Amino acid sequence: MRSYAYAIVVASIAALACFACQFASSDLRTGVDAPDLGQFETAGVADYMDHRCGSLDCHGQATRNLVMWGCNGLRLDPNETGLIPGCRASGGKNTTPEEYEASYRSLVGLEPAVMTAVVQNGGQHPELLTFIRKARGWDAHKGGALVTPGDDQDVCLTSWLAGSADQTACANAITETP
Amino acid sequence: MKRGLLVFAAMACADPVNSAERSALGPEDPSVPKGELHRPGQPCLVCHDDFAAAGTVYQDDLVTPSEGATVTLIDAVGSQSSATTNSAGNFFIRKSDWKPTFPVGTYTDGNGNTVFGISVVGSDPNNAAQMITQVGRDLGCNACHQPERTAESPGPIYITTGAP
Repeated sequence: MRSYAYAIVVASIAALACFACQFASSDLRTGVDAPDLGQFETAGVADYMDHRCGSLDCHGQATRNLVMWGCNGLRLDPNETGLIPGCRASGGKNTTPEEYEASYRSLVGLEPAVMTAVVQNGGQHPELLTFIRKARGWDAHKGGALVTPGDDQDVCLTSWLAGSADQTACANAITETP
Repeated sequence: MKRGLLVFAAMACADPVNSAERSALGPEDPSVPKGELHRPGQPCLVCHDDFAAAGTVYQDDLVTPSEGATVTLIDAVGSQSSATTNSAGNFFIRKSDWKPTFPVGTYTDGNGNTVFGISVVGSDPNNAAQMITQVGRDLGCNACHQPERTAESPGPIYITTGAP
């Protein structure tokens, strides 16, 4: 009698599992409430991150989870061989709109659920995002602690997450930090 | 038994990423003895983890080594170190001589002046090559400065005429 009940339980779980799998479509997509792409590009958030994070030995590597493209490091177009390295000021080509968008997608797609939660809460608790914790040195980060909460670098990132990127902080973040 | 445990421990500690990078370097050039002149152009720090910085400098044909060039590095807190390239164009700075605080590279100081954190000077001081971006953590220069310019590499380190 006892083994009969056990068999029913096992069969029920198996049936439930099969039923659940029917709803897990292989092409299922989830959305993300992300901070603004336009501000990422025009307020200097992307330029700061390219400068500070996107060097070729760090997040300017295509194998990273977080990849940054830009004129300070990795270029998006693989056919751009022979390109003069660096940005326009040094004879190269500035970061392109496609590179800004690729970096943006790389960043906001890293933790879509957490990004959504942070953005929906008006940028409250940005430290829920791994990239903020790593930049602050709160999580293990091979590049070390790069920003201090409240400094221009931190404000550049967190103001963007809160919906209004601080252009001055982003500009200062580039020039102040070696 | 003890030897087996040691082998097992060594295997357990091996870094598979580093092992793959070492394998990708290929064999030594049999015409060059292992030492300061070997493997020019290859990413030195893959094997030499006792180096703080190392690389290879070429003349402007991007092939001929630039011997006698001075490579100077200034880190994020102003600590400076220099090395001179040998006949293979190779240079290196040991960690025992310099421990940089990253990033190392070009930045604007508090007075608005541009500080070039990485520069290479040949016999003619007017022909210095200066790196315009930053290094965040890996001063194994050839890891980024690969033989060809691509989307992932600015090409070799070189100095123009005036090279010694």
